[in-house]
Amino acid sequence: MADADARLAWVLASFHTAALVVAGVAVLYAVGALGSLLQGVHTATGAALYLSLWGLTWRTNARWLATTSFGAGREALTAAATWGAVTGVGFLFAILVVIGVVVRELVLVAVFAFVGAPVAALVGAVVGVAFALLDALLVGVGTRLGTA
Amino acid sequence: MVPLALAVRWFHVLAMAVALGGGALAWAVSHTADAETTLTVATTYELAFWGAFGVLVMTGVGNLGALAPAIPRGAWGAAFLAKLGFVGALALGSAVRSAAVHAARDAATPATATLERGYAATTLALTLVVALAAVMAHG
Repeated sequence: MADADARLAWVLASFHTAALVVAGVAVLYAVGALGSLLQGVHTATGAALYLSLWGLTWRTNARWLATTSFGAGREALTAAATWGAVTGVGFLFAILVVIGVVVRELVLVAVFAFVGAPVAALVGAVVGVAFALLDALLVGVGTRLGTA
Repeated sequence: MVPLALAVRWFHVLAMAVALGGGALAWAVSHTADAETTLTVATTYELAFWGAFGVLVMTGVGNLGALAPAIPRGAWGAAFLAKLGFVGALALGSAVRSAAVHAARDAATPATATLERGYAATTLALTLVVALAAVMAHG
């Protein structure tokens, strides 16, 4: 992958991760559920989950940029759905590792994995497509501004 | 755990120093230097900015966790929601700014005046976020 694509993957991954977390925090605060959720998550655990999502997103954005381009239309969206699903399942795995370490119940983790994997893949695919559309818009505007 | 909470705050302040100080530097350089220097500084700043931004969001949630479960509402909540709005707008605007730098590197005539305005807006937006953080911390 070219250096330029590597830099863009870093930008997009950081943007996606931060935007998802900021939006989630805003929604949880608005409905009054943020305090109780944060009370149940240790600081180190929260940081590890954030870093795992950031790292996963960096990797999958790099793979997405290596296989397609913003102007590729349906092909770009299909790739975005695929790599979004990979991100979703990967992040579920990170959450399951945390649950496994905390509760030490392998059967429970296996049930969560069995039920959660298709849901995580679907959510990841939808989020991946949404971000691909947003990225195409933002990069399009940025490209016009940078070369005007 | 007090040392961990202290470390979270330290990283939060450090990341803001990188984002805001770097933004001001990129603004000054784009105002005074030639296109090549501007793009070199801008490219480096974009990488540092997104690293700092990620750390700011991560440690910001960590700082909220220190208040849990009784996260305040009222005037503090209004400042908090305004800060989240600014941060969201900053993320969107910064993605555009990074894409502009990305495109300008390959352009025959890079739009350095646009980049200068982008870094000015980034520095101003980050200053407002710091002001809101001060309101939240000290009332």
